[in-house]
Amino acid sequence: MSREAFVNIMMDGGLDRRELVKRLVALGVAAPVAAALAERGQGAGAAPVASSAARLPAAQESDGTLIVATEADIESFDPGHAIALASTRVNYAIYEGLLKYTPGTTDLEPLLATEMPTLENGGISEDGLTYTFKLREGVKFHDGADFNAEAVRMSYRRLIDKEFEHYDDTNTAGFFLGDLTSVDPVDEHTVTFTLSKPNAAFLTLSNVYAGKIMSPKAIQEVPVAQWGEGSYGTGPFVASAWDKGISATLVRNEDYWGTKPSLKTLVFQPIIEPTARVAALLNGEVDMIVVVPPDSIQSIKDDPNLTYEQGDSLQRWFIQLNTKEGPFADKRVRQAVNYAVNKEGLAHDVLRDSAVPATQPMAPAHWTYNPDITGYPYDPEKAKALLQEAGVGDGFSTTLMIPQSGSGMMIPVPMNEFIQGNLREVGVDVQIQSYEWVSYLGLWTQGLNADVTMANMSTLETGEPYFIHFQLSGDFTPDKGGWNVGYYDNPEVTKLLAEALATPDDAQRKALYEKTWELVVDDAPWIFVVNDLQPMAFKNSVTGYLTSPSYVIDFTTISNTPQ
Amino acid sequence: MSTYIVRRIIGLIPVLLGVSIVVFLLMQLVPGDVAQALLGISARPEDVENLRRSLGLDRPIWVQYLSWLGMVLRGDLGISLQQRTEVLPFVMDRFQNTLILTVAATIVSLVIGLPAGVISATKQYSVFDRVSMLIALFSNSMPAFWLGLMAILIFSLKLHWFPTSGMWPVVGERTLPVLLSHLALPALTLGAASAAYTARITRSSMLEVIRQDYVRTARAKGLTERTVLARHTLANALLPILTVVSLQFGYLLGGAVLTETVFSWPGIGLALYNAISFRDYPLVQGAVLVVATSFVVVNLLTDLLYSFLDPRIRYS
Repeated sequence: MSREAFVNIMMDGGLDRRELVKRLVALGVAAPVAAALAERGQGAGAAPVASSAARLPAAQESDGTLIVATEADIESFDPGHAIALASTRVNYAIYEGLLKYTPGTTDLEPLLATEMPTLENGGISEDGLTYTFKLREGVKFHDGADFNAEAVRMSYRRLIDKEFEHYDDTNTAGFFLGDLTSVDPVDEHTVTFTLSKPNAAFLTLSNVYAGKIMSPKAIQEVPVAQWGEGSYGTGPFVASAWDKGISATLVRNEDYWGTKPSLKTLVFQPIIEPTARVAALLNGEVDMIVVVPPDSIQSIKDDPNLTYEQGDSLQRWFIQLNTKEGPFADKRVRQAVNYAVNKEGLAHDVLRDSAVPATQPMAPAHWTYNPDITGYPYDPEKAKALLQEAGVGDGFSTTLMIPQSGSGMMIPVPMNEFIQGNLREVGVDVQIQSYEWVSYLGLWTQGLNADVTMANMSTLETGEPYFIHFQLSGDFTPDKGGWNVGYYDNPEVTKLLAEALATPDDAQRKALYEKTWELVVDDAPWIFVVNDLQPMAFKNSVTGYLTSPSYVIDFTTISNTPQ
Repeated sequence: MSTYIVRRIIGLIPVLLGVSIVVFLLMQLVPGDVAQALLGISARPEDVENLRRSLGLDRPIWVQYLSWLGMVLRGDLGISLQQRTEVLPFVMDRFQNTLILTVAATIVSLVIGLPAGVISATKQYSVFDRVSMLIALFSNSMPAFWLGLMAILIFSLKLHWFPTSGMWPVVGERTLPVLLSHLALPALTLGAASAAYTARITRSSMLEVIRQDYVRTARAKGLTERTVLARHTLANALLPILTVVSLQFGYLLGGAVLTETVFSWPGIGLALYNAISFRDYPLVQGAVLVVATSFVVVNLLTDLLYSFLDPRIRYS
């Protein structure tokens, strides 16, 4: 008997509907039947359980709305306070820089500027110290202010100029804008950036990350602490609400200067527990989820209503080794552990192919990736031979520190346990010490020592190799304020990295970096493990999603039209 | 009576002071601080140092504590370092969400646990008794995390009765029925363990009373079994049950972190967990103060309820 038939019989039997629902609820069998009752008309008020069951499909049909379940809440709407991917993902839709990544690539193209500054067009000075941008005209900020050279200047002063009365002393842009000394308007629609030293990564670092342009009106009128709460960009979406820890809501910018997005409303809902995130998608409560846990990939692929998508990224996941003291001071031992780790097995069995094995510091999607480097294919016999050669053929014990979770860390505990198993097979006995993320960062920045000789980390590289300098250059060991926590110091690598950063020509720079990666792979200061493929899943009704190596999602091309 | 209440409320002050000092010190012991957390992975040491200074974290611990205490005495719990919002309204909002969940879970616990315990006691060693006590043992032993995921699997993904997460749908109207549908699974998950406990304590408490002479007398007088059970047995068995239920209630008010995480319920447990992960000490301190106060208040109310249930108990 169908539930509708059951309901009809019961109702015709003269039982009061309200009474019936009450009894069914008490019996604990209410929902499907009560849903049918609710469908028979009348207000939903009398049948609490029923109305919700009936509501679920209704929420799916809401036109032009996209609900994205994310791995964490945003830190702020303000790009000057965005570190984690969960925040930048949202900021990209609200704020715009002078340049942006061409969707699907890490090439740059003009956004609020009208052309790319280059050496040829005079936009970049011969000495590499000044960059001149021509600005787009007729653009307005969400709060109505005009976009112009003065706006660009003020937007950067709030981040770098400690003398500025609206300087934000807690902003997180320092790493990206360290070499920038001033921003000066030339005329209403032309602006010049001056650097203290040449930095070939400047265009990427300044305009694509923290240095997006904020309304001068807001900077002057809104208290610094509230910049992160409002919508003061020029982007295709306007921030409309942020219920902290619950959801961040954006609506379409009806006055957008460019192509208006198809989506009317864009909601980001943090669901921290990965399994719960998948459940919300399977149950139809959200339209899209990020960071799909590997064990759920198959069930999503099996669901005819869902689409699974993954693609190349600039992320690297690696283990830094102490090259200064302890067993890993010997290059052969470092090479041995690289051979000992079964990266293919890890990517396939633990990560369900949502990552690719790494061969070098850069991910395959990066333009400086060196295709000639084959890295260290899994070869435990070779590993044992190298350990023998290094005089530690009987193996040794050491400690690896790892975070329990963290932005971009994938699933660090099972991954490191897999590696621990691989290393045990060649006689290296690794004790794992795991910490919660912030504790871990505190310990990691202090560097490795004689006891803890291995540390796990992941990095999302920028379109230009930049983080890598702080991780491989001998000038950036922990005592000098860098993240080269294993004290790797090959003077040639340090010199090449510095030279590359000061080389404006792309082809020359690429050659320098490719050479650097070759040296680094041979020295093996890290175990090169995997590169993430940014697993995503969404309903079939969602179209226009394009994977970008930078993890940026261009929401202007996405639409959501349930059948 | 009123002097008793006033005395108990004054007794709250040293409790809160002690709790806040302990929590403050514990936060200092954990490696990593909020400056590191706020600046994240791309923080240069000089940035971390600057931020630490501008947040006043470079001052001696006791200065930091006293300046926080000074603010609290003026009724200001400060600004959350992570959320950049005022602590008090934020904490109260989350506390209210937890209160809703706790009340619902307690109702679940009483509705299931009380009758199950009473029937088990009256029919000791019967099939019902053994089965229900076995179920109680099971639901008390299963981690809330697993129970929650199973509930999602069965009631959301298979049966499509209830949503899987949140307190409200992120898009759409906020009405009571919608709230109840979101509340169902977390309340059931949280209430299950507590129901098991209630059932077991009800059973043992009833068994103790049921053997008393006055129960035999009541039966001998020819009273119906229902009256004997309700008026003479349960009423007298209620005190230990009330103690357990109210302790559980107070405990749940501190936030059921696991349940709140599985169901993304925006309660104080989840907020506190996030705040601790972030070393957001104004938020941690504020949340702990509210939780500690509520615990003490619930205990006080329980003590007052005793005298209501048992007229022999008087406070002065």
